[in-house]
Amino acid sequence: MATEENCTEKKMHNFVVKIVKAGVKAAVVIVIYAILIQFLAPISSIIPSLQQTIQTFVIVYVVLMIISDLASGTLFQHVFNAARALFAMIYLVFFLNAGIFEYTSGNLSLTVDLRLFLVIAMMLGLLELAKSVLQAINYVGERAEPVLI
Amino acid sequence: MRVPIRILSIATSAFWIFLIIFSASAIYSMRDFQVNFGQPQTSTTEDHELLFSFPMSVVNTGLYGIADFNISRSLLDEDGSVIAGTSIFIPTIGQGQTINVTQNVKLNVTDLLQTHQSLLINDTDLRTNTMLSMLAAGMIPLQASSNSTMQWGAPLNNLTLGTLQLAISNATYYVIRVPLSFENHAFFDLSGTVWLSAYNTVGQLIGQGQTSIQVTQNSPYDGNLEIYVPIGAGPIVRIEVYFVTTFFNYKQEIAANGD
Repeated sequence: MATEENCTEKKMHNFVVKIVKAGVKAAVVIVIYAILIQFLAPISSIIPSLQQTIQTFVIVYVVLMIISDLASGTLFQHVFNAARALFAMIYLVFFLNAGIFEYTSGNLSLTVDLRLFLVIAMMLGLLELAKSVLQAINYVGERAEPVLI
Repeated sequence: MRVPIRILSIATSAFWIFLIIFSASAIYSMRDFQVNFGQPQTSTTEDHELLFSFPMSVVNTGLYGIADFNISRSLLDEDGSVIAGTSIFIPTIGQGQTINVTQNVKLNVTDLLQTHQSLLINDTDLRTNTMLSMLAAGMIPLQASSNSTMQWGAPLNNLTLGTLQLAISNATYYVIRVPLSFENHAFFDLSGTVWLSAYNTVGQLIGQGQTSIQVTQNSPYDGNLEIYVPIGAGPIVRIEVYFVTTFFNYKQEIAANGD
């Protein structure tokens, strides 16, 4: 009976730790976003959709991060990490229009070639994805029961 | 396996942080980059070319330098064909640097008015296309273009050749007077000669006259052109009016009623 209660208490304690950890990480990301959006303010006044697009990205990214942290200690943590990396890559490709960002207002047209930035971001995204796959393999490997011969 | 994964984690996080900080600071830096255009000036060269001068200043007080700064400007006609253009290339604009430059666009009026005769007699708006390209923060290619219009003043605006007036000059000649009026809206003073040639029914030149004209910018001209024609030369069916000036030559025909 006492062992059962200890086990439930430990589970509760672990879950609270996970929530706190996820909350702290989400708060850090939101603070970074709030600082960065100040830097982007001059561009946001020219391109009103920019802030909304970044906001959507941050919301989805943070949600996936929280779910991943809550699922830590299970295989789903790595699945959600991989999903987050994939989401970041796909969102960047669509948002940056495959690296060529075009904006037209009145008789002014602006084109920014962000292909180099996109390539670097894609490589980092692929590294994140590879890391998640490696973590999943490692997790499955560690959980596999040893076979006694 | 844990150690390589941990190293991979740290490395990707570090690169992400560097990339995000660099991108945000590069965008922020562009806020402090300005290209200010001054009032365009117009003058004429010794080769009778029109010179449009566009003064501008490039101010970079951002966090990063600007590389391969290029600004090109072209004048387009109503069909969108380029009639004149120029560009300026500045290899680097350092942090905190201000560069003042004047972009000169030369326009050969003689060639222009030969191919675009409507510009001689009609005021119009010429389109100007300005294209700007650079490497922001030394590595992000950026291009901006804008269209605007520039007023073109016709040197023979509202050109009117009035009704021919015939008068007997003496026993052998009669005189034909052609009222001529126009306004010089061009960027230059107009000086030259107007030639009149009269032809009879068989296309023979039967009389010629000339008048010198000096019309300053934004001034009207109102005068009479005269030709002396022998009385027995036959009826006049056609009169040609030639403008021979330092900037252009222009011919216009008037059909006479054979008097």
